Amino acid sequence: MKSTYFKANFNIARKSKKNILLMGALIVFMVFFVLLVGNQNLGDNYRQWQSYYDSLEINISYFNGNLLRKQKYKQTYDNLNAQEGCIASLQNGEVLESPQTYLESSLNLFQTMLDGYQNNYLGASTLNVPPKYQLRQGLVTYKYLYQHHIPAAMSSKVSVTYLIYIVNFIAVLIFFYILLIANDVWMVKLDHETVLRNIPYRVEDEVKGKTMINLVLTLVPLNIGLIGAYLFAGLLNGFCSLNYPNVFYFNKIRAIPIWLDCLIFLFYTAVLVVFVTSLTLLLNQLTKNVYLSTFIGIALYVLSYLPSKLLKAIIWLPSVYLNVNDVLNGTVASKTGFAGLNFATAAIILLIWSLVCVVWFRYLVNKKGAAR
Amino acid sequence: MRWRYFLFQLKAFLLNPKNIGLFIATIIMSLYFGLVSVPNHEVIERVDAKPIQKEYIDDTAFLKVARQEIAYSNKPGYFYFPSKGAVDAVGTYPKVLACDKQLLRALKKNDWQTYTKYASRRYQYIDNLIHTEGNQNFLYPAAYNKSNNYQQDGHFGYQRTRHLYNALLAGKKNRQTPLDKNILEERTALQVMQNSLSGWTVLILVVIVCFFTADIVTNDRKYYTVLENIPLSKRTILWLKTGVVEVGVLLDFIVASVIALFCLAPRYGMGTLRLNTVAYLGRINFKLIFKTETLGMYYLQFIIFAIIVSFIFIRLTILLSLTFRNDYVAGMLSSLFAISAKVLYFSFGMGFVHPVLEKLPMTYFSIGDSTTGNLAYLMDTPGWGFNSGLGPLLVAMLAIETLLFLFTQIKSIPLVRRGD
Repeated sequence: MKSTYFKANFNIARKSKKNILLMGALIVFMVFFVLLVGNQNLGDNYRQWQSYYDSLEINISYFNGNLLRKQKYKQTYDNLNAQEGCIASLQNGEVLESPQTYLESSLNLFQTMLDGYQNNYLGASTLNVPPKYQLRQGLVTYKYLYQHHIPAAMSSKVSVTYLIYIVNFIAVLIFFYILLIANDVWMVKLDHETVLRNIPYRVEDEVKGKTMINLVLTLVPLNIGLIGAYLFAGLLNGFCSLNYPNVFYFNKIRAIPIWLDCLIFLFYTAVLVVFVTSLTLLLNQLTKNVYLSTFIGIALYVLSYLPSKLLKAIIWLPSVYLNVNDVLNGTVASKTGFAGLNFATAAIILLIWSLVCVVWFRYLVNKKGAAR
Repeated sequence: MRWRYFLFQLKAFLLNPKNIGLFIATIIMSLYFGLVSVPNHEVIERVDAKPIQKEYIDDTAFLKVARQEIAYSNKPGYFYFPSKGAVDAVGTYPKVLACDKQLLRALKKNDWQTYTKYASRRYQYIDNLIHTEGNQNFLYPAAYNKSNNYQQDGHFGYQRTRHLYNALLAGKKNRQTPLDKNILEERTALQVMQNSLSGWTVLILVVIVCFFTADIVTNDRKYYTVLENIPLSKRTILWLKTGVVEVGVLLDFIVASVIALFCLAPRYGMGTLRLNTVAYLGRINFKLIFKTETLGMYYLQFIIFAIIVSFIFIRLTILLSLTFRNDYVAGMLSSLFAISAKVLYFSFGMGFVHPVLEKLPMTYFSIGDSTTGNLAYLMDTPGWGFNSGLGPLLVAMLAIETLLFLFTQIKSIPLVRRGD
């Protein structure tokens, strides 16, 4: 009975037009987005550094004309000149296709940019320098490449750099995918109450079954997408070692091989599926409406975009942990100022909230059953 | 019968929990906009005596040192070349300081007309120094740097402020609208709304329209037996449903606007529709850079665009829900269509090389970007405004209407099926 019931539920979910559309869109997007990345040079370092270089030049020119006015800017002035040299060298490496020059210059540049924070870039008011934690993220990646003798890839379109690009991109949006997959998880039951009323079921089995279904509907297309993205980008633009690093945060910002990063990403996504399923079960039961469940889910995610000051006050809520990319690369820890907020603590917090949602959901279902 | 059907549908629409959720979401967004977003918005060109005073003291001291340096170099027997900074300062600072003095005086007397006049002159002079003469003693404020093109963004920012001030002065002459600090900082309710109704803000509102419409047809499954034999043609039913959503959307947006205006007006003033504003024409280095129009004219264009865009999305979502027989799919697909331009060719930087985008309707869904001329600046070419957008939007509307007409002509396809 149990397996038949599960299979029936799974078939309903699998054949849902909405789910087919979502799964298809996810796979197609992950695999073929490389065409756009290649065509538009997205994630291209040359363009990124060119813009920063312009900003550097303007500030250096300003100092050239005004040093006579402010001697205390000397330290910043020296630092900006050093950065200018590093960027020129980095761009030479990129244009002349010399990964070694590119790598060494990138390392020097990130270190010099971090050094600039010693006096908080005093006087360089129009310099758009990234925040410290982003510089550290760049620095660890290039250090890893240097230490492991891996040639630096200078675009995001080869197999492994595209895989990194797409994992980081999808990690920001995967919550919405899961939410849309799971938003009607309990509505089938509520919509067909008269038919299903007399079928015996335990709430625990329902929760487990629905979670399993959503895990399959999320992890299967995600795996197909990841493998497809790696192979398609590789066939198109060349393959690269899966040991290429991506930024990862545990107790400090570090770099880990992309294959390990993908595994951690899939693990954390699985936890997110558990949480979102429990949340939508509860919301479906409470609101009896798919759209309202979705809107409340989106509102929960939007809270993660509050300013840092307010974020600190809501770290106990699941909101901060719904953007997988921010959890895995340490942005959550940096923004909130709590060094312990890594993927493990985030997973524990999400699982605790899942438990709360399930207990509440069970209470509501049992109460309704008893009333009947 | 039509009227009764319309009322029945309107009642169902207003009592639909999803629509109530959307109403609440719009109200929350409106409150956030009025109470949090606008008060915390940093105005780049603030009308404030303190920074001008500080700059005046600083520059006067620097001018003194620069003059001394030049005096040394002119002494007979000294073989000394003054620095470029000192030479530039002696050549340019007296004019800037004279302007600063006038600005401080005007601020002290609350003489906004004089302030606007001298501020405009100052922006023109400094912009010319930085942009044309390459003077390194002045910098554009970093906040202008939005598309990672500091020099160009700063030049555009100064030119816009200068033209806006000139337009406000011209408006005052013609219509006697008194100027004040909030008007110059574009903080009055009508000015803030004008500047905010673009980009993602409008696209979120369009997505709300899509989701208002998503289940308007499929919901009839609930009343299938009641509506099965209703003596109305399919086309009439769809028009009545369109009307219902139009009324709902209008109600939602009016409530949201009123809330925002109530939050902003007591704090910064309402502003008037007779105030002048500027729209970019697409050529930064030409003589005619911005066109001047009243806020009333701006809002008229905005409302025309808004009516067309919301009509397109209501009818498109209806068409999609008839095609896919699924409200989520219809809502999602039309929402994706709404944000397609923003995501694809603005966020991913695909705009600059494809002039054909000017002919696509998606380009104009963010409305405010085209009516303010921001799109022309982003694309670095003239056009992309109200006149350019009308054609593609009307063609899109016509295409959707043709498909809907064909759909309603096929008798074997009902609006809803019992088994859907």
